[in-house]
Amino acid sequence: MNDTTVFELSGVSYSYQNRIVALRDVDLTIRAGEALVILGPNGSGKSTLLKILDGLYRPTSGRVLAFGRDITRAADDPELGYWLHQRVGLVFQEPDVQLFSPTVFDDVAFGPLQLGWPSERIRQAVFTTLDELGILHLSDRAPFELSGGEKKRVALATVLVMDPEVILLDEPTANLDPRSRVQLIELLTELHRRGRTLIIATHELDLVATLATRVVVFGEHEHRPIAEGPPELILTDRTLLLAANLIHEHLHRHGPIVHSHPHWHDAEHQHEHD
Amino acid sequence: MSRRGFVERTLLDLAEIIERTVYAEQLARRPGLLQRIDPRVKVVVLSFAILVAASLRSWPTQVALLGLLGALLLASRIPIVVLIQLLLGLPLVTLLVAAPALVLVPGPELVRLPFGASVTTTGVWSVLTLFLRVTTSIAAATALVLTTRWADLLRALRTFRVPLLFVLVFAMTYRYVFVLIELLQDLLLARRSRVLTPMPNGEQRRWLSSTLGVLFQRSLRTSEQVYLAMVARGYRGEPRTLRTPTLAETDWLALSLGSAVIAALWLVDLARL
Repeated sequence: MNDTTVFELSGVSYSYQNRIVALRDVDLTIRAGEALVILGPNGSGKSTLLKILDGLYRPTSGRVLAFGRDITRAADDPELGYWLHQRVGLVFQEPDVQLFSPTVFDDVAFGPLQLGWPSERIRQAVFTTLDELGILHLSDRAPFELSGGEKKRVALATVLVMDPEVILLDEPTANLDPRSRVQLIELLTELHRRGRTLIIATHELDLVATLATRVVVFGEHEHRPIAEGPPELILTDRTLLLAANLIHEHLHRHGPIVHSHPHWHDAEHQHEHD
Repeated sequence: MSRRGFVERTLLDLAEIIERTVYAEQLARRPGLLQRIDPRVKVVVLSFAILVAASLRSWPTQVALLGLLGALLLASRIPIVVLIQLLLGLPLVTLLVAAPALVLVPGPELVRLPFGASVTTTGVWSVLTLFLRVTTSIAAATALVLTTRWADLLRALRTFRVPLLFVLVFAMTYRYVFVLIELLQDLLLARRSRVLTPMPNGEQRRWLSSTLGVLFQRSLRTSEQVYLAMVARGYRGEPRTLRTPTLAETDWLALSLGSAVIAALWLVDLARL
């Protein structure tokens, strides 16, 4: 990890239709090479934050710097947005909105086409990216022929092909079966190992345990960070996780005893190594 | 068997739309004769075939053109059952619509009917000509649609100077129809799982109108998100596309041979008049 600041947010707020608060006075600094997990329950403002970082939403108030440049107005300034989108890629939560072309190939080629790359370079980049993600065989498929896991991979390919320095991921493992989920986490780990900055919005704690270098916890009602730190510190703070609605308390059975206490399902990961 | 309600009927129809589309895409991927030819060549030659089919007047040339298209479809591995279904649907309706011409067109009497009416030879030829024209046109359109993937067909449109924006909007509309169909299926299934007794008609209509409202809201939200997803990948309002590859030698051969054979049939037909 290096010390170059990628994003710097000061006093950023956002409201939908000036009524529904999504973010409230957020201060946040993100450095190059981090795998930052923004942890928060549904409705805490994580997705909105990613769209602001990608210059798609203009904050209601506050200031956003990306790579040292003010991008607060990027949503209203196509040239500034274009500059930002060459360096930052966003994988949306719902892959269907990202796959709007007739075939997988066309979808992955869309970004490089907008960047004005020559045709041969585009073809090469698309095939290389699809091959790296193990989905080359899908290149001719229409999006409606893909499974949920395949759609997620293709959506990631549409961003990776542009080779961005920062990748924003909104709930990347949502609605995935266990195998697709593990494959995606391994892929993200590899991307981070290769030096990409990852910013992941999620409410799933196992993603924190396997991927994060730093965690920022967003409050359900505060709509701003209520805690931040290394994953091992955050994951052991049960009071914080319970207050942030990230773990829950319910009745369950331990042999003959039925009782309740706050927990998350991490038992499979508690084991010894030789 | 109990009578199906509108929910069940709609669900079956929606499932059938998806099933047919997926099947058509599978057929277009088979390693057949027409599948190997560039879509642009197919659009030109098969459009020419439809044009010629509409102007042929002698039955031997019509049958020859229909036979040629049938052979091409079989060589393209289109199952004969699919062909029979397609070729017997609309053409048979055409026969029914045109049937009155059997007695209405004046000409030499062929068969005497009760009440003083009679089927004329000219009437029979008129009906047969119309039937053959419709069948041949459908065969040509089928050869294009079932052997060409939708995406390739759209790309072919670009070659014929159809504006890129129009092609893009058309492609995205087609794409999201499936997203909305899946949503509608979910809504209908969710409703069916919660309804135990038949609902009164008024209530069904109210439910249907609220469902349409949900679909409309969802399509608006999706369109906004899709636009953001485009902007996030560098879209600045100006559509771009990859340069279309040049035609291969086999495509030029198919273009020349196909056009020549159809033109020859046309000339023979003209010569027979």
